[in-house]
Amino acid sequence: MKVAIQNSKFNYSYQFTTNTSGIIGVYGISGSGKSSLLDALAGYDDNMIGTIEFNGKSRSGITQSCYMNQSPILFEHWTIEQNLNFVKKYHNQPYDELLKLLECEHLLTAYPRQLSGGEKQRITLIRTLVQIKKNSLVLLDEPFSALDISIRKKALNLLSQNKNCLIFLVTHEISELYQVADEILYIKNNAIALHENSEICMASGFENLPIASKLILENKHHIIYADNVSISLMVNNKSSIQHQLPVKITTIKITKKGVLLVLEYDSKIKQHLYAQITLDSFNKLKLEKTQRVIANFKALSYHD
Amino acid sequence: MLTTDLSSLWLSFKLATVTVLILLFIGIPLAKWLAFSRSRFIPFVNSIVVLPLVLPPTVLGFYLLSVMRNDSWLGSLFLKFTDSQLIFSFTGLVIASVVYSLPFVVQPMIATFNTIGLNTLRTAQSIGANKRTIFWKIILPLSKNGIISAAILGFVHTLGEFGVVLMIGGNIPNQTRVVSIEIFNHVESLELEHANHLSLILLTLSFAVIFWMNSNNKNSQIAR
Repeated sequence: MKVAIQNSKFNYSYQFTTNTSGIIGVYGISGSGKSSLLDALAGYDDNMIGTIEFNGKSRSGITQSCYMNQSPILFEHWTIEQNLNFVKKYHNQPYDELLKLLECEHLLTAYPRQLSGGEKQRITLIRTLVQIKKNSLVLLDEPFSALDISIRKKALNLLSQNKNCLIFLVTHEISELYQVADEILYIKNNAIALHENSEICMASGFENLPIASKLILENKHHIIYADNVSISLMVNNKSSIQHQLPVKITTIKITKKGVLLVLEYDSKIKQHLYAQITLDSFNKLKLEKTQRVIANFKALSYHD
Repeated sequence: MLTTDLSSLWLSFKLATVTVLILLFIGIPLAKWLAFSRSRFIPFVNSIVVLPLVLPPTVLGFYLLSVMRNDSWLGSLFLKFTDSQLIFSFTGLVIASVVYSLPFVVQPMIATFNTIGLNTLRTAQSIGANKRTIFWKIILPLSKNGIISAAILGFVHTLGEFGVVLMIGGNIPNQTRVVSIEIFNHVESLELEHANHLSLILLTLSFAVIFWMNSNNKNSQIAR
């Protein structure tokens, strides 16, 4: 997708080019312009000028997209079943599986006004997922904000299964973006401040982005924040530590926060891991480049 | 009750019914446009719609009279095709009532449409629904109560209309002598008992309708 748009009323200006498929994470503090970007991509912004090119076609006005608003919008005069059937009529895809997976089967006969915020969000999420086809443009504005952790995890998994469409995902939860995003758009003051693939973003430490790495351990995918990794010279027996990996220091970088170490973990494949430690402990351990040490951390696991 | 009273009551009900039907036909699309369009002409059109609300009925009546006179383009056109004049006729009265009651029907409709919100319509559109489906399946059912209230308000308002009717319709029995004018006639001839009968009917009816509307609104608020 190729985007070059601006709006003098909301004072934004966005220029970027993304892949034609994958998940684009949109991140930034509130009021930075994330939602106005999604509105513009959906064609909701009448005052926007510029071009949005997607799959070789230029988009203008409200064209079919799978847009999930920040506040869930359901048709209040219909039951949940009627709401979902309305989408089914246009997209001809079953929703029963999704309903079961997101634990919403009991809501079918209820009216939207009888639902809680989280339930409404689950239903609009199902409605959005039902619409997704090959080459769809999917716009999700804080789609999981009112969901419980277990449902959130399921929803995130569902989302990452859609490989053939372009998904813009706005969220305040950076760990979610690190898990699923292929690219990250960091928005600041209504402009793109950083646009990189997620691995580079995770290592960048840009603004308030936490430094982290993705690691596969025992066939499970993990996100490991540099702040949560400590270094020791030998294996210790503290029960609170989940993982103790033998690693080699490849880079040492002095930062404002202390010292950032890039560690190489060599199992079957070479993987990189970041550790952010204080200058004190760096000096105490007398660490050097190429030195072999033990990385200790608790990992946030997720399934890919 | 006098037969003239009955015929004036019947005439008023007939006028109010026809007016409301026309107002629904014009008012719904007009209110929809005013509520959902982003056109820069909205404030201008809205001001014209609201104008009858603030203008003295005599001023409105005077201009309507100028437009509908036999030597005006509208009046002469009507005369040519129907062989009868537009002023002092039931048709003239209907046109005047439509203009006069327009804000009473359109304003509540705009308020109802606004509660639906633009994003609801956009959601339907991005799902793939066309404009006709959105109107019939989403806008109309969601604003049903508001439209009924607007129609009722227009109906009672037309029933009670006096100044404009006097200017346009005059005082012709069975044609333009509506109930409010009949009450005026009774009072002028000191037939206070007759005036009281008709006034009481209008008062009771208006109160009943407004009471029903208020309790209906309250119920729908609780349901939300």
